[in-house]
Amino acid sequence: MSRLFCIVIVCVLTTSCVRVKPYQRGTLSKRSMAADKDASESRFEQHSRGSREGADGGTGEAGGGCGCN
Amino acid sequence: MRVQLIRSALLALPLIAASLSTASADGNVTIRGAYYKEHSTKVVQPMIDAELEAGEHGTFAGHLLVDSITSASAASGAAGTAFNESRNELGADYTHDFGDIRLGLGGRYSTEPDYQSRFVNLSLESDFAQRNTTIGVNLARGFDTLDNSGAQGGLSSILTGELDTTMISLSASQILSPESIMSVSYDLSYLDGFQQNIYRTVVAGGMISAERLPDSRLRHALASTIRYHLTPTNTTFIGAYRFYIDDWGILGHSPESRIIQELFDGDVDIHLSYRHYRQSAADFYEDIYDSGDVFEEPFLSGDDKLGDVRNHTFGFKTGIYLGLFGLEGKWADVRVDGLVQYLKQNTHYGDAIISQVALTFPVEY
Repeated sequence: MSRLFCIVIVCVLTTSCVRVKPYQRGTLSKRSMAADKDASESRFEQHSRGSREGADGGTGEAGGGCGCN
Repeated sequence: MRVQLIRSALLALPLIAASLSTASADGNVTIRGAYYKEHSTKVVQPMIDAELEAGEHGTFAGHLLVDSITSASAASGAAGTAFNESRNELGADYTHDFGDIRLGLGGRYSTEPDYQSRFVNLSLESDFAQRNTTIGVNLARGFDTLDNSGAQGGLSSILTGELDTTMISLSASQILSPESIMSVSYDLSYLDGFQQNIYRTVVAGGMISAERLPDSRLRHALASTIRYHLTPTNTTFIGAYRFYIDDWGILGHSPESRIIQELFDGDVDIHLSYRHYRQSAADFYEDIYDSGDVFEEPFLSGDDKLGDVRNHTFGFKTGIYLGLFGLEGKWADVRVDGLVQYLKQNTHYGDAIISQVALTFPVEY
């Protein structure tokens, strides 16, 4: 699965040379395209997963910070 | 503290209502209630979040929450009896926008009877190629202290410890087309110090022993998300995947997919989601430890989440703007969110139900 992930990343990055102009970004500014989860929703999600799963991270935010391990 | 939080929320409501009819800088305030229920553990978490403009180029974000847990699990903080415990958390971040560069500084403080945590972070984000590409770096340091001397249940042995966390996170997002965007992030974190649960015990060699874990842990997490919007149907497809590995021997995969359907000119959105998570066990994790001898078996853990974990999360969420009901002006932008998830786990915790309700107000002040 990790190999498939790397292949997808390489394919996307090598085909991502198209420059989208500011006036073409109406769709990209939609809530669903920017952040479909509020900060509070993501924080609770990360907190509950951190106490039930051994893996953590990948969100750019530091996890843990409580004695619920 | 919970009473104070509810009181603060009630006090905030008229201010929010007043702000909806006045003007100057923008922001939004979210009041959210989250609920998590397993067979023997229940968590209720009310919280308030605010994101506000601070000056012409600054943004302030802050949150306050109370994490109230009721559990019959000894590993959650009691010596064999059901207990209740509250954790209070306060966080604040400020981000300054210099044009194509944004600099942020934040902090978080969390306290509960036997655990205190302090986090600080510094972030830098920069845009390239006419803002088609954004690259960011985030540095964080955490300082935790624990002490079970005030714990419920009358424990005989008093334990104290410290845990320091250092994290560096690199992120990049790339616009692929007017309808698609991709982001990638890599988190590296190093934990140094006391990492065992001070209440969890392990049966080793026929005896009950305290949990023993390594003093350090190096964790890597690589995650990516791709979003694509299908304009004719107003549907957004989101695919995400995270790969995780650490030096305890845990290797994890978590693919996730979400579909968001907009209805009624965007006043309503419906989300369907599915996430799969699986991990291998830590190298030292055993169902049964033969001896518990510190030389033969230096590390002992009865923590299910260090074993072979597999779970599935099915989610439904909806968001509704009050404009749907004919309200006008800023009231039309008030948003109500409702979320329900079912978590199917292979661990002894059993399956869980998660629900959240949130109200988001735009504010002007």
